[in-house]
Amino acid sequence: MNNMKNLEKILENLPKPKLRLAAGLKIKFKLYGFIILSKAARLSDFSVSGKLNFRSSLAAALVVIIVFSGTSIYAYANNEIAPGHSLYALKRAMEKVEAQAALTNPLKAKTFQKFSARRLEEALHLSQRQATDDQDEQKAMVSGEIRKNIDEAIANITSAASAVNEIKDSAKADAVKNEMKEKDNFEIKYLNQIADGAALNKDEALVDKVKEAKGAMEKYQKTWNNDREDDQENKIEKIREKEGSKDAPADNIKQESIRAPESKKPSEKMKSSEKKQKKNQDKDEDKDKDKSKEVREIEEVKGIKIDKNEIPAVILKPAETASTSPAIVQPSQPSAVQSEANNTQATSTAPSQTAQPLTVQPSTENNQQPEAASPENNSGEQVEQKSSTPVAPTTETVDRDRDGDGDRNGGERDGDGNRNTDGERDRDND
Amino acid sequence: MIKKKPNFVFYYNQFKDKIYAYFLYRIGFDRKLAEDLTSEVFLKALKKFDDFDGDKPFQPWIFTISRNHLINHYKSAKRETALTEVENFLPCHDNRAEERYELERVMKIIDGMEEGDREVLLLRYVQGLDNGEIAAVLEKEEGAIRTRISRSLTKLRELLNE
Repeated sequence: MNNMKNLEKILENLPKPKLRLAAGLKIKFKLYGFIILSKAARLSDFSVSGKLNFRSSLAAALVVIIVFSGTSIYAYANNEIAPGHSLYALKRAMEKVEAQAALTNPLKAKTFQKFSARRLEEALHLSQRQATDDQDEQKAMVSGEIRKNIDEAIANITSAASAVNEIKDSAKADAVKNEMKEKDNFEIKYLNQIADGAALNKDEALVDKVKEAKGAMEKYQKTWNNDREDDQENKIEKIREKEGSKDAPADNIKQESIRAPESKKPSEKMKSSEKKQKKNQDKDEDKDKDKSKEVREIEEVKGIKIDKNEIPAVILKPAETASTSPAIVQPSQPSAVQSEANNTQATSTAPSQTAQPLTVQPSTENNQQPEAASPENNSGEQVEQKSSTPVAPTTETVDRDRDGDGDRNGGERDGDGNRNTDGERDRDND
Repeated sequence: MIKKKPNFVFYYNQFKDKIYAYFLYRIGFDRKLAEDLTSEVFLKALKKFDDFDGDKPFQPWIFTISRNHLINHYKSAKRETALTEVENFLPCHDNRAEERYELERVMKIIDGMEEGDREVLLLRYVQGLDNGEIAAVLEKEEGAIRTRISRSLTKLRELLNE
């Protein structure tokens, strides 16, 4: 036993060598290096896992968004989702967003119009449901909901009307009004159906409400119609301002306003009258040439020199002037050049001549006459010539009339086809 | 109450000499190789440190790693040491020459013993592991380790008496 204990002591006393300091530090350095690298790797692992977490959360968010948006679209597009439905609040929330997204007045008008129609559709759906309800309490509740929807529909149509009124561009406003009028008709149909249902259910309050709503709808339709008429009047005023001629009769301006896109018939009439007038022009050209020759002969006899520029263009080249005549004025009427010439002649003519009534001589179309005005100013003989050649004074006055209003008077007659016949009558008289 | 697992460097500072000595005795006192093996073992332990259960003792765990690493080293390289450097690790007391001679002799005898006996004796008396820890390292029963140590001591004594 002693030997065994001694042996154990010997074994316990065996040398226990220690790691050298340098070797120890070297190992420590390796360990620290590895720790740093592993921590860096862990950080990168964390970032990778972070990305994964982000991706997974993004995917979850997308799923939620898709589900939510799908439900929202379903709720938004389904007209059967009426008050009392679990998704109705979502539908209204979507509509609020849509109303806020409508920035321009035409969009606002259309959006509110759409909402109004929707409320009425929902009301119709509710009224159909009301018919199947057995309990009076439920019927009363549904009736209340229907009335509420109708009130909202009226409020929406009011908002739409105010949005339409704020549209500055009259063309756009007209387009929106037309759309709204058509849709209003549908809404009135819905209201009629609701009224029928209410009558069956003997719901007098609802019947009254529907009547009230119909009255409001019709009122808006009427106001839109009136607005259109007002717009036409505004157009006439604008045209007056543009022309700057306060003397211009309203009839002419009305013609121009009628020429606007709404009226097609007047333009067709104008075309037919143009053709007739061209024919007349062709006929008149020969006469005009003859008359211009006469005028020149008179000038030569009396020694009066007239510049070619002073002679109206129509007389020199009637066909050209006809081509250059403005669209508003009838094509057979004198061109702008001619009107200028007429003005110069008008200034050169005696006031007595200018003061002659325009409607006295109906042959207003004849373009030849203004040339005779120039020689008239100089002597009494010219007056005699005037009497001998009555074409000259009449044309002078008539040409001025054309520049101002004579055309339109003629245009009115043209509608009846009198104008050409007048011209012929004049020539016959001549 | 969950204990917080200490830092690995703490364990390193605590066991680096024991592991170094373990290798030194097992590879014929080749200092450089022992240092390299110590370094490799601690790096391997560090890599597996996340798997280490902090509630359990660290010593059996690091010695298990060292043992396995040594077995792998034996497989890859022949044992070339001839205990030439044993003297360098013996205490330098001139007045105790007899004791010095006896330690050198014991070390040489142990080095010549069977692997199992040598391992048990070194773990028990040089590295200072108790029977339970040795059983954990060698993955054997504690009683078997006790018996094995007793038998190994008997063998060593017989060898010393020869």
